[in-house]
Amino acid sequence: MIGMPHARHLDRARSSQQPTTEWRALFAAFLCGSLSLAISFPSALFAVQDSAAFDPEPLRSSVSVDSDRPIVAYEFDERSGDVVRDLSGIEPAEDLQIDAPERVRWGWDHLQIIGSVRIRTQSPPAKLIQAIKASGELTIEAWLRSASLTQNGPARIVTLSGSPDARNVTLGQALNAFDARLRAEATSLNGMPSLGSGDVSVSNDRVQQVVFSRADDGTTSLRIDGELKATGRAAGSLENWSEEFQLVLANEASGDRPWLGDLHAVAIYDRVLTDQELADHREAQESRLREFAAKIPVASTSPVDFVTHVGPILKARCLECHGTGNEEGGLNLGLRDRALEGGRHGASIIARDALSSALIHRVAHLDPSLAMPPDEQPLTPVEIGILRRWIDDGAVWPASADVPDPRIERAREHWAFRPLVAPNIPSSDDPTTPEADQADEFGWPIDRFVDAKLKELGIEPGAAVADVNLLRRVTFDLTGLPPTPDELAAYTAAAATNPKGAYAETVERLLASEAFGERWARHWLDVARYADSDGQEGDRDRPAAWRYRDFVIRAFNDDLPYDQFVAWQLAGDELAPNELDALAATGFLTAGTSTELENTFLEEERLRNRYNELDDMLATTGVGMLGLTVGCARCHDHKFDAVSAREYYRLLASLHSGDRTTIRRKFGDESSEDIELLVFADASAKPATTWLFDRGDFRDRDQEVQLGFPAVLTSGVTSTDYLEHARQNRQREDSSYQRAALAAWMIDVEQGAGKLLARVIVNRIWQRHFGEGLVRTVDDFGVRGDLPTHHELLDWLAADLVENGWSLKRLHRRIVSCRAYTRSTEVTSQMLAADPDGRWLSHRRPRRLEAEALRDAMLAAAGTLEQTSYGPPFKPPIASEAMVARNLKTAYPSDINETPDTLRRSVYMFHKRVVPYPLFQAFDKPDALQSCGRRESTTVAPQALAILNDPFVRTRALEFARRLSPRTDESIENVVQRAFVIALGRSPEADELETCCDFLQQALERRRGETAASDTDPEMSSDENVELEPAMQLAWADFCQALFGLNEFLYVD
Amino acid sequence: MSIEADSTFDAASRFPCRRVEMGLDRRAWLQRAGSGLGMLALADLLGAGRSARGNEPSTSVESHHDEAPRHDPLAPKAGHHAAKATRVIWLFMEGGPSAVDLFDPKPELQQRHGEKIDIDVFFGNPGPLMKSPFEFKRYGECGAWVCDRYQHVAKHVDKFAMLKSCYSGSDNHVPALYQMNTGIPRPGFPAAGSWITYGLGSESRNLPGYVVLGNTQGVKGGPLNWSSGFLPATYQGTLFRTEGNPVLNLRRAQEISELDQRSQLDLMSRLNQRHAERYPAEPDLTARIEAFELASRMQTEASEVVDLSRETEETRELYGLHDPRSRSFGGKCLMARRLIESGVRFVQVYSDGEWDAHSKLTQNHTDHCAATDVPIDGLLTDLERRGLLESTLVIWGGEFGRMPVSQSGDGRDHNPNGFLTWMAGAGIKGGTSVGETDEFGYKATVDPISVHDLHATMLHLLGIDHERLTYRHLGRSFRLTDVAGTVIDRVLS
Repeated sequence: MIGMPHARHLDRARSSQQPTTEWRALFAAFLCGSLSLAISFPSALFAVQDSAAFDPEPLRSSVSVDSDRPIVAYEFDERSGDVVRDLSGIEPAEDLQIDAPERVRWGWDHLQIIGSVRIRTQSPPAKLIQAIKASGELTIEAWLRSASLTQNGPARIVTLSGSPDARNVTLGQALNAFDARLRAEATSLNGMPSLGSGDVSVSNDRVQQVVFSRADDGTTSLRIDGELKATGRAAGSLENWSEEFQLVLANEASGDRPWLGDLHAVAIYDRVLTDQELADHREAQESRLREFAAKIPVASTSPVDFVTHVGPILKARCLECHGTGNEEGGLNLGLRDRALEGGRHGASIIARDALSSALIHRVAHLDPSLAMPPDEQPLTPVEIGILRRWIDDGAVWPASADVPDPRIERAREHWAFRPLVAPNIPSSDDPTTPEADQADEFGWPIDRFVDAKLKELGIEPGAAVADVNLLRRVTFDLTGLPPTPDELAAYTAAAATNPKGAYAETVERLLASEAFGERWARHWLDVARYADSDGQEGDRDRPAAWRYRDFVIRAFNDDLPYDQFVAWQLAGDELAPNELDALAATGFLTAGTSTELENTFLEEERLRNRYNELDDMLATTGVGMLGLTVGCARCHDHKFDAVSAREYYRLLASLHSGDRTTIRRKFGDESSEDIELLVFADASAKPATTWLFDRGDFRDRDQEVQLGFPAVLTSGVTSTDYLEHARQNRQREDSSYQRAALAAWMIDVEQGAGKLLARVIVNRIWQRHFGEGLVRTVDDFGVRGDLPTHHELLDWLAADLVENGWSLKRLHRRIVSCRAYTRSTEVTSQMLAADPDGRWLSHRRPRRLEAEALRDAMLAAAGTLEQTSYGPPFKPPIASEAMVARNLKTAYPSDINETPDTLRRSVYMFHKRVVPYPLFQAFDKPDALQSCGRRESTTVAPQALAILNDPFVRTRALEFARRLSPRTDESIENVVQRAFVIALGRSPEADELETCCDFLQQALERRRGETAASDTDPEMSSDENVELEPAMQLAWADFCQALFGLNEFLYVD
Repeated sequence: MSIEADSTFDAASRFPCRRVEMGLDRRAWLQRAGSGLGMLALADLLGAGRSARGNEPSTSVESHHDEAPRHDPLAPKAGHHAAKATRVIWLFMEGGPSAVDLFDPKPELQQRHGEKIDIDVFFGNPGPLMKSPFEFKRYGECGAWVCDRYQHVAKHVDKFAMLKSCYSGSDNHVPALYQMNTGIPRPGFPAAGSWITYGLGSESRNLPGYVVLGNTQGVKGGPLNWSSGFLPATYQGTLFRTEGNPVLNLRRAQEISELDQRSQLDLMSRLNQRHAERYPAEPDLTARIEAFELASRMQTEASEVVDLSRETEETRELYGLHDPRSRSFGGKCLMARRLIESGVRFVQVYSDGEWDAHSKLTQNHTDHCAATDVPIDGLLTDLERRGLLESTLVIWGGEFGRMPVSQSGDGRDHNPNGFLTWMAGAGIKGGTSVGETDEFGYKATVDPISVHDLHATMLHLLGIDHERLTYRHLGRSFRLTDVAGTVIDRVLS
């Protein structure tokens, strides 16, 4: 607003005797907004347009002032705070204090008074009272909009008074008329009789210029917008004016005559303003409005309708921040009543006055620092025109068009949260594509979707991979192990006559092997952040944690339906309290890190710890099962999240009644052994009280909340329904059954989260087969996650999964049977141009083995892999220099030797969080501190160092060499051939063979020289199984170790 | 009009800063590989509007080193703005040194010694106020107070910015260590050193970018203190030992000579090259071939860098290697200098033992000062005379501080409410001080400095805007400074 600068610069202009033209230039600068005061509505009250007024003359004293200037002037452009500055420029400034700031809202250029408040000077304004007494004249000019036509008292707008019956002068509102009272010799000390403006003078939908004047002859007048409404007389001198009264706005000094409405400007003069001056003020105002309006796109000329035109704009551009759940600035533009009420910064929409509406100012970017929406594309002129027209037409908004919760509405439209309906399988014009599920063509629906997309994009898919490579691929994918030379030979033979049949049979064999569960359990254990110790400072071992790991392996091997798999992990103890696996399944919740804190520690530290642990459980459940980041909502509502803070705490209620605990009990008859389990269990049937913590701070209990599930994934049913149902089917009396309710909601495809649960697991499994998910952000199916590359395929597979009893083995069979899975990694330049990263599945890309598969593959090649399934974990030897943590409650043993037990598959390895296994750490095994759905695949020097120097690798190389058992009379070529088949699943090419033989010849020579020079290696010679001379053993071990370092060993084609 | 502005694959443009393109965009890689600039597209790193798909990375992520492997996530990169510091040496005083006994004397504490005040302490049972057992004097032009146990450190106070009002979120060592290292008082988040090497890469081709010189007995909380968390493992801190094998797997097995290994490397290289030719569009395969060569070079260089016998006697003495009390920490300080000279980006030096003086504070702090006083003096002197101090940020501090009241009669309990850290060197305005604790040194009262503020300042000096160094993980863009952090600009030169 320009009031203050006017007054200030006016002073400066005068005191420095600058010519008028400069002042005008300055004024123009304000108008143009070049001094960043773009919004100048309605102002200009005190900008006197008559050039004569700017004749240079010295400033007068602070009390005796220019006749043409207001003695006090307020323009309400502060925008915040509890002070209204006096902009008259006449010292002393009589600033006003707002005594109840919570009852006002600052607008762009006005102050909205929404409750009884006194806005008053700190002391009687001597300069004002003295000047008016001296001149005997006054003018009160007020620019305002009344909030209602029913306020009376009169409601005091401007008053210089001491109480309801003692005043110098008051301008007020009596219903639909303005009313002025002035104390003079001929009136009462209360200023009676009053001068009324007559009925229907007050407007509550536009700003009015209200002027009360008194000339020194006693004539009084009330003018509204230039129209003389009433004249009267208050004769005599003003010598009886009290000098004790304060100037008060919007109320009586006593506080009992409140006026509600918007104050845009108030000025009081010690003279009568001429009609011309008042007209100038209005003209300045209108011209300002014109200037202002010129900066705003023109109103739409055709009629607009809220539902068709306006609602969609608000929804798309405003509600993310200004809707229920995220009422930034207190503004809600989703609900009619709230929108018209405005926010903390005042009214946003002023019906029938678009130019006064902050909404328009903001979207038109009149002030860049306050432009909306921030950091995004501005609204188009057409959109602004629609809003402008709509407001000017009265801002009609049918209540039925309210958006009660835009977050949910927006989220419900998000693809991942929509109901799960199987899309139609695209038809094919390729006569070779099958139409029905047969064992050897089970993947056909996938190919229909994939091929349709490739065709649409004009990409020619690549050829099928060679048989040996396919066997290696599918064996690693399904079991995490390489095919044995025997399997390879058998498959090659069978595939020669019936490739499809041989492949289908192989897939069945692999799916039926124990290794399948061991492989896929490892993937899920990443998601469940499973480990065998507490993590944190003490890192105490969890000797019973492995029961959960065995549950997962067994579940995958037994093809436990995925919905049951999930339900048991959340509430197995409530759903099947007598089944070992169901109890062990709750290890999903307990697998995260924990700290045992002494009771003497600060309560605060223990509470913090407790809530961190609960957060970890809930966050893992959200991300792992639903691909949803719920953790952010712990502290605040986030505009992008599907889950609000309140919903977070309502979800947390499901876990809040329980904790991790170790139990010992028998399963089966009395003779059976006690089994120890690390489980999650409720303390009692009575749910614990859960609080919503403000900003995630557990010291700030905001409100109590009950169990609840996110609305975006719940329809036609409530958490109470789930809870009641769960309790009706209860099998024990000592648990709250809130987790059973959570589980029921989680797997409910129709009304709960089941549709998302199915999509997420399909995508996880797809990712592990193809390297990337159909949704690449496998842990984020929220509105900020990636969109699926093949949405319909994903939905079809998810629906197929649900329809077929959530059988994961069936899903695996589908996926590995499709042609897209069996494509080659060879790429054409056309593929690289059109499908460079293979996201359209025109070709496959080689994939690096995970750390565990690498270790298992080395053991398999060495022939020393110990294939005992299930049972307690083994602790591998770890170099003492890799153990660098102190203060562990259970230290890691430093004296472990390799035994058959330590040569079991990696999934059975004891994972101690604070003492990670170095080989795994180098090859990107996640640290099991948070859920991990997608491993990194880095390429760093420590990996190379491990291959070169890790004792585990060297020992396997020695074993591998022993397995090859080259006889002295056997050709090197022969042995290399055998080594290649074992390690890489193929025979060497001629040039490779030559390279390898060269290496071995040199190595043998060198090694023989070395062993001749020194004593025979005692370790080698003492090994009774070795018939080889030590030099030969070492040379072949060097060779085998080099095979472990080949990309072909580490990457699956 | 619907909320989804466009049903096509348009999400990237709606949320340009929310995408990760890590390693996905082979097309972009192929294009850049052609011009010799093959690199991971660290789009998220550069913040809003810089998706690899939409915008080719600018020169800020180009490799400046001819011998750097292509596709090298550790290749040096420019930050968001001009950096004052290019390297960091962080002297981590594990256990929590007491500010009121070292750098921030409190006369009130001396006067009211023995008086009981209302105070919450971690282990319970707070004792009365306890005065400092040490004498204090003013040093330097700035007149900073330093206790008589730190007389060598005291010579450098005109280089220091004393941050006297630090606070952190946990009373407990391990959460506090995790917070000081990662910003979050829980395990599982990337350490500052990881964030920094992720953001800037490393100048060293033959050594890791982030090196940790641990203490003799192991650090509480272990390697999670220098973990890369959810960042790629490339950025995790590498622990260097000062004795024996400096890095895990650095030494060959006894039965393998250098020649044996060289011939293994050559065999692998030939077969891998042949294999890689079949996959012209897979940069990882080539990178891995080069990783073997890097590992080979590292075996030499890492062994050399820890070999302190290559230093002159004068230098060794300067770092306190002749005194058994300071030999260990002095060796690590000297090694830290050697590491940054070799281009390592971030070196963290843990003090030995713990400043965790729950009892016998006088003895504990006297010993720890004796172990660190000369080495720190030596390090600062040496860095300065070699011209390295103007580009190296040196930080001194613990995971928290200690209480003004006594514990067990002559010790002090943990105090995360107010403690002291100092910074010196690159970009630091020496002789300055920010913030105050109350009259006892219990709580930060004036200009409190959070751990996020410390991290934000560190990143700022290295040329990184802490709000723009992000990584997308589990559906959220993470930062070292979470959702907070303010650069302490009063200490910037």
